[in-house]
Amino acid sequence: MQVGCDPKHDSTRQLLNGHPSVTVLEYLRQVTPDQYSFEDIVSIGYAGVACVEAGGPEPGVGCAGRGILSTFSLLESLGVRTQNYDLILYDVLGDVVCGGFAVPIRNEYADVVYIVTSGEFMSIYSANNILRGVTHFNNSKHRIGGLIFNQRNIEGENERVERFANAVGLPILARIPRSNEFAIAERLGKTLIDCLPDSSVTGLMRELAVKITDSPKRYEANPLSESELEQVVLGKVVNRPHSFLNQQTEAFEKPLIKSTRLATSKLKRIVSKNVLYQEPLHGCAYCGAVSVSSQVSDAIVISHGPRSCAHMAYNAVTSAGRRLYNERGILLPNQVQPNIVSTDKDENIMVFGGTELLKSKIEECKKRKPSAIFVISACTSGIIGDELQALKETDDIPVIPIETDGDIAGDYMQGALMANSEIALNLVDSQVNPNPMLVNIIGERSFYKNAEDNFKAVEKLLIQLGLRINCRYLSNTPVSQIREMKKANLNIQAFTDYKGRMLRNFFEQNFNMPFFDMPFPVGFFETAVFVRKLGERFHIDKERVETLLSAETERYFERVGQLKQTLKDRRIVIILYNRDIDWLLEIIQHLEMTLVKVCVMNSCSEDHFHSRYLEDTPVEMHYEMRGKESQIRAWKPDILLSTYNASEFGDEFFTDSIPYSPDNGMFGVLDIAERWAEIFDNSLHEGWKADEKYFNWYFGTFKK
Amino acid sequence: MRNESQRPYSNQTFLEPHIYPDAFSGTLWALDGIKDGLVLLNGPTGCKFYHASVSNSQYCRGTSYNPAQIDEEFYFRQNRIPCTYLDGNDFVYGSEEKLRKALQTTVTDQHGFVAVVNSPGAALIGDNLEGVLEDELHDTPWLAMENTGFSEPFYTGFQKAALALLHCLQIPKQPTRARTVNLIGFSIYQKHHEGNIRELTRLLSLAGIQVISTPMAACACLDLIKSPSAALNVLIAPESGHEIAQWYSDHHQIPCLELPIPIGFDATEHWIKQICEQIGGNPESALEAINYARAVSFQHLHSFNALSGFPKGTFYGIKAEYSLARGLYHFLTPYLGMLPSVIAFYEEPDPILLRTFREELAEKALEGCLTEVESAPFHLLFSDGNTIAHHKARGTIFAGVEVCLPSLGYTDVIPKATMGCQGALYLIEHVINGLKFFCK
Repeated sequence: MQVGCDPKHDSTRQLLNGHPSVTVLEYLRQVTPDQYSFEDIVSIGYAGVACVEAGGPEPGVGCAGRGILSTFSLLESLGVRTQNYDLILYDVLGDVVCGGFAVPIRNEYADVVYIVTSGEFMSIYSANNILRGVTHFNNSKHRIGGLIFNQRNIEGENERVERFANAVGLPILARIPRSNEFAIAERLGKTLIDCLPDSSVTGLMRELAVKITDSPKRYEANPLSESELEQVVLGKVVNRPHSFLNQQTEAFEKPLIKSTRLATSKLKRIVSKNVLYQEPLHGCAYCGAVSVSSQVSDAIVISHGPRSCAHMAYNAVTSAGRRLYNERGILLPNQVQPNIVSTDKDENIMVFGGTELLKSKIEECKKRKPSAIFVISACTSGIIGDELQALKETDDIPVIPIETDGDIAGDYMQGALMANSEIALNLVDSQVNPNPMLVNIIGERSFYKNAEDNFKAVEKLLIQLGLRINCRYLSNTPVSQIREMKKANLNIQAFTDYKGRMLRNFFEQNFNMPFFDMPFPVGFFETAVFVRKLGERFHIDKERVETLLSAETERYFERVGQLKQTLKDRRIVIILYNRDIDWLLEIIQHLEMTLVKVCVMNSCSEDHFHSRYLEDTPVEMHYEMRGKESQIRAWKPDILLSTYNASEFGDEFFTDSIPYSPDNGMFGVLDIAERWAEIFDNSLHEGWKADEKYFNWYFGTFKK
Repeated sequence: MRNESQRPYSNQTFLEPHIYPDAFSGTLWALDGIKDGLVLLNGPTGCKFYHASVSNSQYCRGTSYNPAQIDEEFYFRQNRIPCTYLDGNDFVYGSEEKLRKALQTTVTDQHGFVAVVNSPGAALIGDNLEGVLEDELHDTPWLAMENTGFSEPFYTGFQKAALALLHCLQIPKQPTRARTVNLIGFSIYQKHHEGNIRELTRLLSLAGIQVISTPMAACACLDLIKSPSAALNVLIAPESGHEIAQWYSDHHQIPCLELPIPIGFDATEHWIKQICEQIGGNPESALEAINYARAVSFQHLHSFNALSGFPKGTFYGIKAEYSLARGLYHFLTPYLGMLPSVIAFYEEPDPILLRTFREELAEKALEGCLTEVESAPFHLLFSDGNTIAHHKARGTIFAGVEVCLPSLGYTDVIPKATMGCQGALYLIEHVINGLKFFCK
């Protein structure tokens, strides 16, 4: 395989009979992630060579280095390492100007680096820069194959290149003369070997190919300083101790197509809704990953980016925690003192790279003896190409990189999914045996203020059934519990929305973990089915289960009967983003209210709308609320329920908001309906709504 | 007290301090502190949501999240700081197309200026913001903040943005109006900026002095344009206003009066007298208001003190911005007889300012309290919601007084102040209520 890593995308043109292939970056722009296919970006050219071109932006705009990173990320996620190529050749720009362009020469990609240079000073300068680039990626491993001299027939070029080769201790593997034959081949859209198989230059190419595939030696990168380089190239011999003749070399191993990043390639297939449908991203993956990973109670989360990113993520994590403390006096340690630290990348780091800074931050954090360290990258790290995977460790204190690269990996949900999956892949022990009466709780959302109450409600139900909770993944969870996740005999999800479904797929596919079919229940029906199904699943005495339910059922319908007196036949219109609203439709049905319309607005986090009441529900999907006031009035609702309690209707009819996260169990919904009844019974109105005109006068941007 | 306040609680063995915002946030909140400006963020929504939310909750200019009123694209249902929602593709190919569309969609002829601010990521890809702005905007003043500074101090970004805006507005020279001032150094990221501005404006008004503008904090473009007519600039906090005041001095020859922040009665009295002396106001009515507040203070402190002996001898901690911390010390210690156990700052102050404060503390042999908040116990902690909750979660027993952001979530319907008479009474109220628990 040959991968062209230049925005000019001309590396494989001759292999493909002069026809340009689709570039990876164009492909990423045009195709949704669920449609990504390895075959789409690979063209088979001369002699069966698989050709890939990274491509890039127009000159002078964007960031081509970032494009190289995106290309390699896609190739990885599509399993390039499992394709069994004899050899993968990355054709890289000579100017290693930033971390992005240096990606192919990282340890995880290039086993051997060959440097093409001609005899001009600037070309040799670039060759030396490549050596400097290689030294940044674990130079203890010798990886330089040698120089390939592209002769230009200019005066003194042989001497200059030889002096350079000698000074840096590298052999010149081939001297390719200037020849018109290249132009002929190019005109015909063919490779030299295909076009002129018997020419002398072709012979040199064949010899070089043999050296590359059979060469026994690799050399250390020993770049020259700028002053040394000038001395060497401009004619003064520098006595450096390392000549390639006596330099220690390492035996050449046939390049192996390694699979060191399996974890990443797996997780890339779990994509958020925004990423899947290429929608505007809501929030950034970095923040989602920080929020999830900060729920590991004895780990440290390193934010690798500028301080502003860490500040925003820190406050996203503590927001619900602070409010919970203020409103209820409850202190959740992970949400008021999250273990988030920042590398505080500054201007210098942006220019010169942040890998060393990150390394030292990791060492500093290790001294505090956390059970794990998560490293999460912001946009700037992804753009300048800081290398996180190389810092991964699996020792006493695992260091787990989560390469969100700000929002380059996707939206908030994508980051949350990445953190969930990377943490599991790196920490969960697959060898643990299950205990029959243990369950895990999966995917709680700590940013909802009722998350802890909802957990307690479900925990109470589980305890009543004789079950115990093994691990809350992830909600104030220690690493030891994550490691032993497979002790649970069943996994119960807090939510089975889009994100919940992704998480379930992930755990089923990677850990073969059994999942319960229902999420935390809301409302009468779900709660009853939840308890009965759990009872069946764990062979709990039926009588015990029914006893548990019967008292609750009686109490539920007694309250419904009372509420019906006020709410029966009331006309109700619902406009919302939420998708799981059966709890709401159920109470409307139980109260015999008249459901006039359900208008579902597009949601950034869910693509399904499903309901067991679908047949009886007048649903309008993709609803846009702007300019619909007269339509809503025409429906003559007694109650307008919406995700956002709109003030447009003043006091014309009763409007109320729908919680994103309703209370679990049978009675939370009844509490909401009871409020409606109180409002109707007492004919309550809201005089304050008439004051909007004053608000607009005093506080509108342009009104005063 | 030390034993009581050091109960171990958390299962966490390492605690990380609250992470303070940097110059990027400082830039956004400086520019969005102007009522009728349009601050367009060239960056991801991840950089927008938080800043837009804080901006409008601190300085209300309409409502957010109403799907019937606010657009999804660029605004994402928030009424402040629209953004170009950059993603991975934009970082590769550049953001020009989206930026043009965002400008075409969001800018109206009512905007006093348009500022495009690059997010940290966008700052690396080098889009030609000025070229796009020049093409798209013909009548509205504009400025481009290509790089706000990575991890640089909050107020470095704040003041850099302020100067860029003042330059962009091309404010003409104007005749000086007698007995007028600009109050410099306020920011909408200061928790009680609204109440403080109101209180200081009230006191100055009692002295016959008018506030023309509070640059970068809850004022309109027109206020900025009138600002060179002020007879005096009053610097509230050097860390947030020194360079702005210098700009006025250089470009409009407005003298700057730098006084200790008016926290507490003595400082407020000094503040109003000095301003009056400088530009000819009559401080009598303002001083009378201060005296009345002193009387109210005495009434409550006396009742509290008679039964408890407090607040004298109790300990307090401060983690705040430099000027606020120093002002609190100069009120709490000499007036209430309280002792600082720890005084810490979000960002390292200017060395000269720090030395001044250190010397002031050394006069009372208290310089040792300039240390991190983790290191000492206290009965009262004056800080932000994160720091207060953080210490509560450690099991430390104390009362938290929120004087900085982020808040714990309490909604202040009536604007509170920490400066002036109202500010002194507000702080005394918290001191008394916060210490009641410790009365035996």
